[in-house]
Formats: sequence, structure tokens, C-alpha cells
Amino acid sequence: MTLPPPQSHPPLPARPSTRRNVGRSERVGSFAGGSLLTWWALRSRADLPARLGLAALGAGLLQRAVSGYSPVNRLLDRDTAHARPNAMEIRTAKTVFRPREEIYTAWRHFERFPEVMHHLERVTVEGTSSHWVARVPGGLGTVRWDAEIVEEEFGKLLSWCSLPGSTIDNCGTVRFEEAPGGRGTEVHVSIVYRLPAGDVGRLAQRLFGGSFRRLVHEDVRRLQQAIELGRMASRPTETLEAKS
Amino acid sequence: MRAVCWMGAEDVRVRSVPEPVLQDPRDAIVRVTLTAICGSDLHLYDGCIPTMTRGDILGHEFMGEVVEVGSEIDNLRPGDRVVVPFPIACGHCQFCATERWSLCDNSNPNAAIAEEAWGHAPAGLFGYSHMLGGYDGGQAEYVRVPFADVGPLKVDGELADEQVLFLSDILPTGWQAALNCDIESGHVVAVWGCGPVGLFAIESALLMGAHRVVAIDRVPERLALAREAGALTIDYSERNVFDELREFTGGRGPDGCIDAVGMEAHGFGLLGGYDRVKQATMGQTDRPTALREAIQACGKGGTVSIPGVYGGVVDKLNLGAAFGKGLTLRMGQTHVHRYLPELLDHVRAGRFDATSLISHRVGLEDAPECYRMFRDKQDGCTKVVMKP
Ligand SMILES: NC(=O)c1ccc[n+]([C@@H]2O[C@H](COP(=O)([O-])OP(=O)(O)OC[C@H]3O[C@@H](n4cnc5c(N)ncnc54)[C@H](O)[C@@H]3O)[C@@H](O)[C@H]2O)c1
Ligand SMILES: [Zn+2]
Ligand SMILES: [Zn+2]
Repeated sequence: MTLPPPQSHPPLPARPSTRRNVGRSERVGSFAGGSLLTWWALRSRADLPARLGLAALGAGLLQRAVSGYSPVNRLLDRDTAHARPNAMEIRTAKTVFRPREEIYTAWRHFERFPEVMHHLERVTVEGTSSHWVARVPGGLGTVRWDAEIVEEEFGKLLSWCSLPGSTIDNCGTVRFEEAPGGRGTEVHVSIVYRLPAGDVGRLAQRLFGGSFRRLVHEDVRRLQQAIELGRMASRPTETLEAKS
Repeated sequence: MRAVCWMGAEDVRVRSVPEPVLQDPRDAIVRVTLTAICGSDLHLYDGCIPTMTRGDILGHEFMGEVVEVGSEIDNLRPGDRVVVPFPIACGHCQFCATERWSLCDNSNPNAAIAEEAWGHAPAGLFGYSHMLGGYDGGQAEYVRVPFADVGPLKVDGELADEQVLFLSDILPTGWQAALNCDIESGHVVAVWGCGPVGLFAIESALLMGAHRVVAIDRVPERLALAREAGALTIDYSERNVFDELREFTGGRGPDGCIDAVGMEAHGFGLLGGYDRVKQATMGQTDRPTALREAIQACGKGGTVSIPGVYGGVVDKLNLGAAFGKGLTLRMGQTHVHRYLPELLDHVRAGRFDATSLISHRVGLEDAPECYRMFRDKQDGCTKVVMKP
């Protein structure tokens, strides 16, 4: 028997959320800046979460930089880059020792993610739409995006996509399945990020795919710990932080 | 307060550090009344466990008096006398729920580092590197105990500190090592290493009904302690261990083989991946010696139980021998919490001799000297306890 194919591969964001209008050399320049930041993150002696945050930021900035949208260009009405975008899929899974419904409910409360995911500054939720603000470590600002739930089945499945205009263009699905042997709930996460077209996007994926994957993995772990320890309710899980 | 700090390989110092404070409603602060140096600490001392940083407070065998508890702790009160298990466990994850405390999902804040090295992360430990949590250890005047509603065992005043201190680690570790051998009547158990862990494994195996226990070491006073505990001994510097064991068991080989030696000073990198490990072990050809010997000597269908700590990749392990003989290999950090009530009863009933292995009773300030002495097995050093 072979492993079954992924059950609900999240769709690729339907279209680029920003207009691409940055020329190649500008993109390369921005790319270098983003790379430097990420390199810095990876080399820094800060603790792991901070480094992951920094790396994610580098990747985020980089993606933004190379996503090819620039207001200046827009003013000048310049536009390039209309090739097929690359996609980067990140998958992770954790088994959480709690019933599906409870985990689903905790997950559905995106607005509380920042309590455990330190790279998030704020998430606001209104019905099926949400607005996300992520911190750029080192006080370098924030990145934001809007997302919309596209599919939702209580206790089982949650899918979302970012909306046009987002800096971080992604679609994701979380599936909640009962773990065999009464071991709680398997949480299967799959997120697809849209990357810039062509070589630049592929290179970005090669360079930063790893840190994104780790970040997502850490986020899911934090959520697991918060849910199992019942800490979502009261306070962030500082005790789970490394001592300085 | 004063604390024993890791300052680099073969460099531990007693330093003045800030006292711990409650960081979580489930924390407790314990004033340490007695603490010990463990064979596992020697792996840190020798610098073979990565992700230690200068200034880390050492120590995972300790007991003391509760001085402060977080708002969610209702099983402990200031003044309580407690022994604290060395693995930190949350009490709420699937591993804690199934009594596999040293595999707790939620007590290692640096799980990502351990996952990188091992695929999955075990529990955090006191004073045992950042990849295993980065928690301050108990070779100090005070220590913060996370998840204090789960770990600490309350002990009444009848028993002296020295009688109960080893419930924190080496007694349950020797016990689990023997338990993992599934001892049946008639079984012969061989124990490599007559350090504290090996000695408790010997006593445990005999309590569990082993027909005979054979203990292997080369340090005379340790071999003597093993004989006192009821074992027959082999000095591996003089005799061929394999031949002796085969002879003794009528050609069958021991039914249970316990490796209570571990990586010792063997430089297996946890983090650096295979290349670094290979590099680090270059020129150290006989590192997992005890484990290799145990696999070779173990009788068909037998069990090799490994309480000795290993960190990374080992070379030249005869897996074919283990396979061919249908051996069972069992290992891991001890699920200390699981055995505490039972072992406390044994201690009360005097079934374990918990104190005669102590060779040095000192204060914290003697830690640097004692680490070296214990590592080099000098001055008859079999176990060091320190009163802060
Ligand atoms: N699994 C756990 O939870 C756990 C807990 C505590 C300790 N440990 C580990 O158990 C091991 C022993 O701890 P300890 O406190 O007894 O240490 P120790 O250093 O006092 O004892 C080790 C003994 O092994 C002997 N030895 C060395 N090479 C040998 C060989 N080739 N054959 C036979 N004997 C040999 C040494 O002479 C010494 O007496 C260490 O690796 C330690 O890290 C594991
Ligand atoms: Zn120990
Ligand atoms: Zn746990």
C-alpha cells in the first residue's frame, strides 16, 4: 500500500495579490537586501525563536521585495514580470492530546494566535475574514495581510486564502483527524505561499523554504503546548521560553 | 546565590548568580538542601554535549525545601520537603498521560534543536544543555522547578536527605535499567559499569529476582561496592569479558545486559550532524565499547538495556549480532516519576542501600575539584553529594 495522496491540497492563491511592476535589476537589489537580513538572522547569536522570527522576516521582506510591487513604479506606471509564479508548499503535522472539537475551536480563534506565536503582532477576525499583522524583528516594522476562510467544517477542516493586496500571499488548510489509539488529534497543516515568478522565486524558495518550514512547525508546536497546557486562556507560555 | 556553573569543557566554577524567581503559575522555588554530581554531568564536563553555554547552572539530582509556589500549585506548600525528578514533565501531554515522563511533549522549549538532531524532542531536563530545555540546574542554593504540581515527591522527615536524594535520578535509573531486562527467575544479568547507576541496577536486578548478577568495571573500589551489592565481578582490564560471561552462563550468555557506562567522554556531537560526529570521533576508535561488548556477549533472545547516555552516531556497532540473536534493545532517559512511590517504599523498607556509595560529602565550593576527581575516578570517588 502506498501513502494516500494529500487529501486537501490547498489551492494556489487565485491570482497575484499585488501587481508586479518592479524591473529585474531592482528586484535583484531588493533580493540582496532581503538575503542579507536573513543571513544575519541565521548567523545571529540571539535565541532560536528570535532567529526564526528574523529569518522569517528576511524571507517575508525578500518575498515582498521580489514580489515586484513598488508604489514608485506604479506612479511611473512601469510594469514588468508577468511570468507564471512559483509556489512553495509547507506541510507539517502534530498530534495534540485533546479532542478534535477543542483543537478546532482553539485554532479558529486566530485572534489569539499572537499569544503564542511571537512573530505575530495582531490578528483581528470578523466572521470569515481576518487581518494579520506580523512583526519584523529588530523593530524594523510590520508586514500585513488579509485572509478569508474559504472552507470550514467544524472539528474537521479549515481552509483560508489571503486576499488580493496582501504582502504575504498564501493559502492554507488545516485538517483535524482523530489519532489512532486514543492519542488525541492529528493536526495536518499545509500552507502554500505564492512566490515571485522565474528564477528569483525559485532561488528564494531554495534559500528560505527551510526557515519558513521551521517557523510554521514551531507555530504549530506552540499551539499544541498552549492547548495541552491550557495556557491560551491566561497568558503566553513564557515558561516554555528558553532561559536567557 | 551561589551556583555551580559550566564555563566550558573541564571548567566548572562556583559563581554568584541571581536567585530564581517564579515565572509561571505552575512553578515552585526550592531551596536546595542536598545535590549530587551525576555520571551524566561528566558528559557535560568533558564538553561532549553540545548547546551548553558559558554560565549555565549545572545539576539535575537535587532535593530541598519548597520556599515559594506559583498560584496554580496546590499540592505543595512552603516548608515541604521534596525530591525532584530530573526530567521535567507537563502532566498533560500524551506521553505524560502514559507515564512516559521523560518523553514529555511540552517541557522542552528548545524542542526544535533536539528535533533537528533526533527527529523528535524528548522532555526538558534540569541543567542539561539548551537542546534539552536550557533550564537552570540544582547545584545551587535555589532552583526553579517548572510544573511543580507534577514532578516533586514529598518526603517526610523520617528519612535523611542522603537516603532519598537519589530518587531524583540514579536509583530510578538503575531500577528502569533492570526492569527493561524483563527479568525472570533463573536469569543472569550482566552490568557494564559499577558507577552509581550500575550499582543501583545490580541491586534492582537482584530485587527483581535475577538468579545472578555479574558486574563489570576496572576501578577496584567500585568493583568492591558491586560485590557488596551482591554481584559477582569481572575486572575488564584483566579478564576477557566475553569469555568470562560465556563461561559463567554455561555458554548461553547473559539473559539481560545493562550498559551503565554510556558515551562517557566520547565526543558524539548531538547537533553537528553526521560529518561533525565522524570528525569528533576520529582517533577514538573504541568509544561505545561497553555497548559493543554487551551486544556481543548477550545470549540469544536476550535484552540489552541501555541506561548509559548516548548522544549521536556510533561507529561499528554489530547490529548483525543483535539481529542474529534476536535481541531486544531498550534505552532512554528514565521515566523517574513513574517509579517514585514504589521506590520510596523500598527505601523505607531498607531494600536499597542508598548511602554507602557516597564517597564525598562536600559543599558547593568543592564542585570544581570534585567534578575532576569523579571524572578521573580518583581518590576513591564513587559519588559526590554537595550541601549548598
Ligand atoms: N538513562 C538515564 O536516565 C540516566 C540517568 C543517569 C545517568 N545516566 C548515564 O549512566 C551512565 C553511568 O552513570 P554513572 O553516574 O554511574 O557514571 P560513572 O562515570 O560514575 O560510572 C561509569 C562507570 O563505567 C565504568 N566503565 C568505563 N568504561 C567501561 C567499560 N568499557 N566496561 C565496563 N565499565 C566501564 C567506569 O569505570 C565507571 O565506573 C552515564 O552515561 C550517565 O550519563 C543515564
Ligand atoms: Zn543523572
Ligand atoms: Zn507532558
